[in-house]
Amino acid sequence: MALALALLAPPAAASMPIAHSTPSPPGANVVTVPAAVAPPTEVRASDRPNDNGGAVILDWQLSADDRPQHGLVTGYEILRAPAPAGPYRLLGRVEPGTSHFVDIFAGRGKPFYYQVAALAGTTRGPARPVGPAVATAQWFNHRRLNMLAFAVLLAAAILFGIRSARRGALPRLRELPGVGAVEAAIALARERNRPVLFITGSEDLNDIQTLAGLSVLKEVAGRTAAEDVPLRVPHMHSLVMTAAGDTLEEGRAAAGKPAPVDPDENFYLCDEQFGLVAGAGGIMYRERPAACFYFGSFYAEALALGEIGQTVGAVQIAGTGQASQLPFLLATCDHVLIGEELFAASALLSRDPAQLGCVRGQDLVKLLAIGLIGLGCLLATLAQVTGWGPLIPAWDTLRSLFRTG
Amino acid sequence: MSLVAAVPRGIVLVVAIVLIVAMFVPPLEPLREEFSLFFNIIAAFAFVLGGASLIGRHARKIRRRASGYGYSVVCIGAFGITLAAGLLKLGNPTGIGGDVTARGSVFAWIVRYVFGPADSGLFALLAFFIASAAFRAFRVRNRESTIMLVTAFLLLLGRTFLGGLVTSWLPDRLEAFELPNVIPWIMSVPLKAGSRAILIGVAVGAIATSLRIILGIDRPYRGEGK
Repeated sequence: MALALALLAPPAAASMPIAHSTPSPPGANVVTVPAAVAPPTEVRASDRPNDNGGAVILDWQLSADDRPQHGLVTGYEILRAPAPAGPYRLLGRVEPGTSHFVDIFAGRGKPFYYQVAALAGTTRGPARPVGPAVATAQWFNHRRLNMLAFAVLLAAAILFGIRSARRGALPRLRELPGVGAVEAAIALARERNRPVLFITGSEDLNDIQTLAGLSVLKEVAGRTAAEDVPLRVPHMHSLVMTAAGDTLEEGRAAAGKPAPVDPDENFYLCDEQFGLVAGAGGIMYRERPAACFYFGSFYAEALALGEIGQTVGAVQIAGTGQASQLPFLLATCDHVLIGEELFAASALLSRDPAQLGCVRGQDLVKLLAIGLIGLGCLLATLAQVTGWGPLIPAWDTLRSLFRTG
Repeated sequence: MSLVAAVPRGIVLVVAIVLIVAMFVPPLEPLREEFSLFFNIIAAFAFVLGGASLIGRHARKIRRRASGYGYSVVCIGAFGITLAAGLLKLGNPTGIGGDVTARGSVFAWIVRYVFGPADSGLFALLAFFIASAAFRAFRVRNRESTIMLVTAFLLLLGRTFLGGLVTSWLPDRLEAFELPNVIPWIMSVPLKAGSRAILIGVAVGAIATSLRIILGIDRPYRGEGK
């Protein structure tokens, strides 16, 4: 009878969508035929570790009929029930050759029993229940222990750098031509009686590069105020505009030239990147700024802004951590602060001991990173060349230090 | 320290500590999404300030009859029409409670036939910008630009059918130096090494800047100078 039902099952069932390790709604027209295909073995159901609870991991050994070629198995079905006897509800299907499934709807603290059955076309093979498996929350994510260790190390190095600088041991930092050129560009703007344009990127205030851009804006605001150079700061995000208003006032007050922010110097354009290009480009063509500063996170608008700035003959200085946009900024701007230099720019401009000390702390961590990368290269090369066994686990241990998850 | 300065600093410190701890304590992980939601709510309120800034700036231009004030009239007009179409769901077949971008609505029409082409047009300009930028970047001025020119030329050549032909005469033992084999090496060794170095620097710099802001060492926008 069962075999007859299996033969009568619609052929479309074979091409039903297959879930890849994610549950799919039940409703499959599958018939269970004992011993039709060999069942998967060593089925295990366990709580997913290092999470907030709510997920159960299922692992199994493939069915003996699951072979790359001429195998009977066309997939596996995962079923779940609150009791060993059932009723079992279909959670999802996975492709043949798959031995892993995550039940992300297990709920926290609820015991469940699972079955993993091999499929041969529309025929479901036999399966034994495993369980109970209970999803529980863990108080610490052990997979992120290495990240915590690095974060603590980094924080300690930075705090050490700040403390040393505050005690008078100011670090000697490499001068960045781009930072030095900021003052020259502002002086040029005064000579030409033209404004300075400053763009803080196209990301919102929750991007650290935008905050770094605002730190540079603070210094630029002080210097332009001291030189009586008008400043234009168009924005793509109104929250950044609001923060930049405070920044401008702060910078001017710090430079001894307190003044309220003119709505025509710090303003919002629109929330679209090419709207920013159109608006800022229009300002460049109309007002011909002597200098254009781009500090923050940029995408495709970087090239357009840089090229328009070139056509109006402005001195252009940029800084971004977006590696993909650096070639465009390098091609269009006179000076570019690459990656981390953006974050050091405000320290170099302000010469604030605490900020300079912070940069020193960063350098200490980078020295450590360089050392570990060098050690990793050495271990990997020696393991490859000599084939000496103990080097491989040492290399694996070193690599595991940098695992994220 | 004034209360006006102390309150924001306290909020930054507490929120930052909670979010850092949430990275390592799974039961606190939902808080990360909650705080993102708070950010979006605040950003939505700030959008009103952005709109006010836009209207105010262009209204002043019109009042002063500043040069090109006609564009400001167009800008305010377009802003008002789009805002009305979106808020009142003009022509929206799904009604006032429906999706603002539903097909057939005035808002969807504006997005599709006005905003879309304008945005795409500006995006298309990048093709011309990239040509002029490449011309400037690849001029041989010094050693660095020469290296860049040679590398770019090899990459461009290697990506075309000519790349294989140019070096096909090399003997088998020098197969590694054939252009189709050199290009993947450039991409996966020197280029990847350089970009990873930048990424590591950015990551460390970002953490350091975050720490500076959390500890109040770098205060770009707290208004303490007022």
